[in-house]
Amino acid sequence: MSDFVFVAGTILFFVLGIAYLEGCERLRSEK
Amino acid sequence: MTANGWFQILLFFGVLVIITKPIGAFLYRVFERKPTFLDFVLRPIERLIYRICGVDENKEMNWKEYGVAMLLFSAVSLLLLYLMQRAQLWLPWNPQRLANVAPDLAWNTAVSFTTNTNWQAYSGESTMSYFTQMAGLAYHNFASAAAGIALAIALVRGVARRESKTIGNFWVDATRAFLWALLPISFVAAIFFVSQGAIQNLRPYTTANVIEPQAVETKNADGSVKKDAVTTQVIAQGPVASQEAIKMFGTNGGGFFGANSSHPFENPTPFTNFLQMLLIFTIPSGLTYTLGRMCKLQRHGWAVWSAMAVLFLCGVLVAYTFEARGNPQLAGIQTQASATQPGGNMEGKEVRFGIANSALFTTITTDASCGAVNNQHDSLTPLAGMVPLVNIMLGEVVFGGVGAGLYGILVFAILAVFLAGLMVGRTPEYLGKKIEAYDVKMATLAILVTSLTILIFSAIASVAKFGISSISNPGPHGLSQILYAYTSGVGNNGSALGGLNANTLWYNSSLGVAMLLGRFFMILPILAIAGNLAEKKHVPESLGTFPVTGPLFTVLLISVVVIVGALTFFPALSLGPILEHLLMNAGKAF
Repeated sequence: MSDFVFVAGTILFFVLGIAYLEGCERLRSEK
Repeated sequence: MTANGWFQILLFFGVLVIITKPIGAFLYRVFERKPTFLDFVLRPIERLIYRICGVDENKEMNWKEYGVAMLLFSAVSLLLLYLMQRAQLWLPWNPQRLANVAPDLAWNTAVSFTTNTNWQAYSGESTMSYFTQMAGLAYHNFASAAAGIALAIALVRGVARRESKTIGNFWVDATRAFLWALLPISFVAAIFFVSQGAIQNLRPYTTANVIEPQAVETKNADGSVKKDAVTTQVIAQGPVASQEAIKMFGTNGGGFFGANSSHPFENPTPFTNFLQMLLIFTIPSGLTYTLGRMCKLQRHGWAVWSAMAVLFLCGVLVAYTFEARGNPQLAGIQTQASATQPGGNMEGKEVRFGIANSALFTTITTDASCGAVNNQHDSLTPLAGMVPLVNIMLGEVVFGGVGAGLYGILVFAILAVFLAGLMVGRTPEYLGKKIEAYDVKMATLAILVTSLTILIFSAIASVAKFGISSISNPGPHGLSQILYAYTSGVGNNGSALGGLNANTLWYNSSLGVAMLLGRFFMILPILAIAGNLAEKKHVPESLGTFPVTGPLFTVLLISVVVIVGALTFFPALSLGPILEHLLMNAGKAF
């Protein structure tokens, strides 16, 4: 159970990271 | 303070000045793909790596592709290290049969080494197998450092290039950083460490008979006292020297042993101590020269270097002064240095290093994002202990981590020219690129993410039971322990004040999140700046251009770094180390 939480949490973080990157790019195209 | 102490500090600084240009020029040749004396050996290996991995070395990436490649590389490496720790009992090279690492600790450690933090909520010799140390932790020491260098080079390319969509290729930059920069010097340094007495073996731990058997009393559950005679001692072994070299050179800092560079098997002599300190600053200092070379404005590289050097010397001065002064409450104790006494505060220090080399090591390891320690930071006097804390809070831009220091200081440089532009009412320029709202927003975001993460997590841990229960020393020192832990995690430093029991579900999880945010949510806006600057046209220098090559820029840069750090963290510092210092002088120790 703990393993699942930590592995899933890691994957979720990096997905959020890519969304964050997209957000930075969107802000750039809106400038 | 002694003349000998100052001589050793200035000797270190002098050697650093001497090596900066050759190292920086070499890194310039590596990343601009110019011939180097190592090409005949490394170029075939490099080509082989690209062929195996399917990398086209001539294909460049835009900033988004660069960022995604870095994220994916880090995610996969992190998960592999997590799995390795969770299965180490069934993997080879585990002569002590050390158990699989608990999930929260394994995750914290995996995040820690992936982000170049090397925060350790464990002691290596009692937790990690040789296989985990070598294939997991040492691998990450190379990989995270190579990624950091690659990102710094990408940002410099963004500044240096004109109307370009691309900023390089992450795989190529990381591979070249690994092969040309990290591997050769780590190899040579490891051999030197072995020559000085650092160990390098795969043997089971040694059981030795102690010279003087000790009687130890322990209390049983019913309150009765049990006496044991201790006649043997277990001496940990392992492949230490090879890990030690990259631990310092990659500004990683994670020790093979829990005692880190205080341990005689890791850092046996004053010579190894000197080399360890020098290794930490070698690449970060050299990269400032690389910056000047790539931007074709060498004096800018030296202006940035000068700002770092001033902040570094200020840190050493404060740390050495207060450690040499010692604790005023020790009335009647000889606190002046003499032929037979070191004077000052020797608590938590190794006699073979003394006060000067401990204060110097502490300053260097936290100026950079290294985090290795050769003395116990928890035992520093309050204001000397504030030096490492402030160093990390400033963003570890005083030479900084490999790559991380350079991209960190360039964010401050952008803010500095922005402020200069505001003062004279002109659109700011940086090295021929107009700095616009987007660049400043991203620079601000990179700084805010780290500051907010430190303060929010520290605030929660300072009031919640699960946070306070780990403190060993209540009062202002307890706040310092918590503040230091999150500052170190977010800053990807990894050193600890010590005294805080960080191996709990809360600290393992929250510090893991803090390390991830501190690394990746800071890097991505910086990459966005690199991509944005690369696309811009070059603006010719004019009379209104703020010069970034002289003392005025250096002073402005230092001011921005200090003011941003001071404004953000001063309230927290005043409740921690500053209050502790005042109370110590009033007669109350913690």
